Amino acid sequence: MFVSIEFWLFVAVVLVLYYLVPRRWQNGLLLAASYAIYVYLEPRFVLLLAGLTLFNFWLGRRLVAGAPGRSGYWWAGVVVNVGALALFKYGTGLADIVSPVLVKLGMANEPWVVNLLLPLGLSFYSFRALAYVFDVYNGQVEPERNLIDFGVYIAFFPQIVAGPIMRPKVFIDSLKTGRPFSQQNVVDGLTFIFMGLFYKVAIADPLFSTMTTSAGGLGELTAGTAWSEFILYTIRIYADFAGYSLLAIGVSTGFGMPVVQNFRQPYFSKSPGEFWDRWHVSLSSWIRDYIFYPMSRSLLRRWGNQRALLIQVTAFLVSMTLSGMWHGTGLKFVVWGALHGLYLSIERVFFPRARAKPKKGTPKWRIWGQAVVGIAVTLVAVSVAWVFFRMDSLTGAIVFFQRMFSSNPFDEINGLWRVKVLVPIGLILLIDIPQALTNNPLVLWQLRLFWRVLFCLLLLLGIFIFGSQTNAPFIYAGF
Amino acid sequence: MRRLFMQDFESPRTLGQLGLLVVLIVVALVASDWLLGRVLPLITIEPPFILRLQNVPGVEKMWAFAEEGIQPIVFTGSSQLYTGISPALFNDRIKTLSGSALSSLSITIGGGVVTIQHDIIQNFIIPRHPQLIIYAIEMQALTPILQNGYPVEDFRNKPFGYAVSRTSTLERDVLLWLLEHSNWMRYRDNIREWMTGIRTINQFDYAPILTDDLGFFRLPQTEMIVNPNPIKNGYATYYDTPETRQLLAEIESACRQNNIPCLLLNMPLHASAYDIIPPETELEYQRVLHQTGLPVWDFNTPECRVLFGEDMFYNLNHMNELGAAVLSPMVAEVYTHVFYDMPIEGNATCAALSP
Repeated sequence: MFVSIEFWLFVAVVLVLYYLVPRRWQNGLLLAASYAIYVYLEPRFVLLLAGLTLFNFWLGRRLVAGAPGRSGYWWAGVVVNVGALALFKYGTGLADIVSPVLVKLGMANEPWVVNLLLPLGLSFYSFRALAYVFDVYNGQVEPERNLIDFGVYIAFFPQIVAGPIMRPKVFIDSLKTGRPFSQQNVVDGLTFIFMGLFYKVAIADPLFSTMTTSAGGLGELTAGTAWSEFILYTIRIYADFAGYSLLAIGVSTGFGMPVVQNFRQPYFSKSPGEFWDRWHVSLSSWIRDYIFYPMSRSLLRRWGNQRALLIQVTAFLVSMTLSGMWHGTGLKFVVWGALHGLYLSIERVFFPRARAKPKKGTPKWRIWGQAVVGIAVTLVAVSVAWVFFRMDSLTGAIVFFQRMFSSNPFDEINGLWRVKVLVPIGLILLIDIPQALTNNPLVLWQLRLFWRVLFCLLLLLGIFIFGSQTNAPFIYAGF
Repeated sequence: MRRLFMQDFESPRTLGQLGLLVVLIVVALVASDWLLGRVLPLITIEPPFILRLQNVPGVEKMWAFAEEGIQPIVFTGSSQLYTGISPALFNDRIKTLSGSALSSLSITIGGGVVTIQHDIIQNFIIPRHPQLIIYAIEMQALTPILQNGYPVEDFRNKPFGYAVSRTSTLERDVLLWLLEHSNWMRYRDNIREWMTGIRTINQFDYAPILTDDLGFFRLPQTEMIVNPNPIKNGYATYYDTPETRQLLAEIESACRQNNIPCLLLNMPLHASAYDIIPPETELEYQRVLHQTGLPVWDFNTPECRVLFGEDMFYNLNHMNELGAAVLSPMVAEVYTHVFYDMPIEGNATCAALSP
């Protein structure tokens, strides 16, 4: 979506109209534009999008405190939204498991052939809908009475394919006020888009690899190549998704719509817990608020405070495994999620002060040393988990690890290998370090003029030189 | 340290500030482009990777001639041309025969089928007003299955190929101007390959000493490689199609409308190639060549094939250095005959000229 000229022309036209039409028409225009894009990209499933929107809108008023049978409606909301997601994500796999059993039992003549496609953006807009159901039920937001505004919340086109997963309160509240033209919004939006293009076009796309991800095809992989793939995929998935998020944020900002900062230089995290505060923030906070906290509270009520540690570990493992299952089908995603649950549990049990501020008087070398070790360990742990995420299967991941240690990789490390690996690392550091030092995604505007021009020049040349012609798809658009 | 790079505040983010930033970036871009032009010769001997490296000198020379106001004779064609005709030897022979000092060069593309040559002649060569265009053609250039295959894709993926194949005149002219004048544009693919670990600086897939600045690629004399597959795939499968005829007609029309003389030079094949090419295919090809309305200088006659021995070929369809040393003066002799009305003597009499 964000890589075609047609899309940007469409955005430009809609943006001009958006600021020309009366304010009361702005939301209608956004809804029309969102559905136009969705029909263009995924005409087969537009009725599913519309259907889920209407259903959740209808449900809203039945969830408020005092409404008769509201817990039943709450369950209906969960079942329909999660069910739609599960049906399309797991339907094919489930049919493969269930139908042979039915054949054996004589309840079917032959196994079913089911090949369901995952509707574009379903993982993201179903979670937006669920957030609405939960928040209305908990009294955190009022049920929405304007179908157009609610439709925009579910289908807002810059965010429908791969997020960020916005919460209803912030998003719908902003729809209630007019959004006059703002120079700052346009400049901020363009800045985010520029940085997003750098992540996507200059860093992620050139790392698009044709390496096979199936266990059977990995036998020929040399140790040196396996190590470079191990490192480069870690960079690619971050640059790809952070780039996508910045593009989505940039377009949203141009329309004056609120967004969350979805990535905050996650590879500088000093612990797994910090990593999940910085990586795919809109999903991790969703998981935290709607799965981890409710589950922890529920378990605390049943098991009591004396088992707080066990409760936290359980909640980490369950919520992260569910997060893995949200990403896709197959045991590999379960393992990926569970592995992160394990990392968080280890941090909680063995390093409970990992994220605490250093005590006054701690020597600087010690603070720095701990930070470097923390970043290195977290980065390696996250990269190991990405192998499960990337490969076709669990076996594929195991074979990949075997290949990494099949011979001495240093035998293969030459000048070209170093360039291939170090240049993308350099590019990531170029754009991430200034943001991390200032904790400001718009760091560009905080740099002194000379450095601002130089920084922009380097980003521009990066896009120009490394700009790939592969048109690699956004990884997260596949979820 | 931080204060060296950062302000304590964010600059106002207005369209005016953005405009100022864009202007400063453009200035910085121009300055860095100039600087790159000074630095690159210190670190590399590579030509800019705007085409396959061995095809770049001819294009560069065309730009240089245009800059100097010289109207050259332009040979254009595929790899058969860049190994088979040396513009330098052609120039020398003309000077010997007529006393005229002409300039010529060779603009070639590996796998340059008519789809590619159509774009190059129409969009690159003709706008630079050469004295004469000699399209060195071969049967393979018209083979239908090659018109949309790898050679065309490869060509259009290179910056120069991408630029000349644009249908928008404005886009094409801007890109070609940048490819001629901007070092970032010219060396983008070189820098990308160095920095993505594809190859090291100055690591060529050919010896640069083998090409000259006029676009001739000298294939040293070696034992001929007898591989019939290129002939089977590119020549014996030739048949006439309206699409390829249309491309030739458009070349003829563009030459005529711009008052630039153009002609077809049929490149020689080794005699053994005709063990594979059916006679009716050759006849059909000849018919198409002569239907274009362009003069044809045919150096692939049976008489010429007898003349070009095995030691003059690198393989069945590419001449080697020795072959080029024989063919280039022969073409010059035909040139002086046609344009200076001088008699043809010696080897060149094997060529068939029409009309």
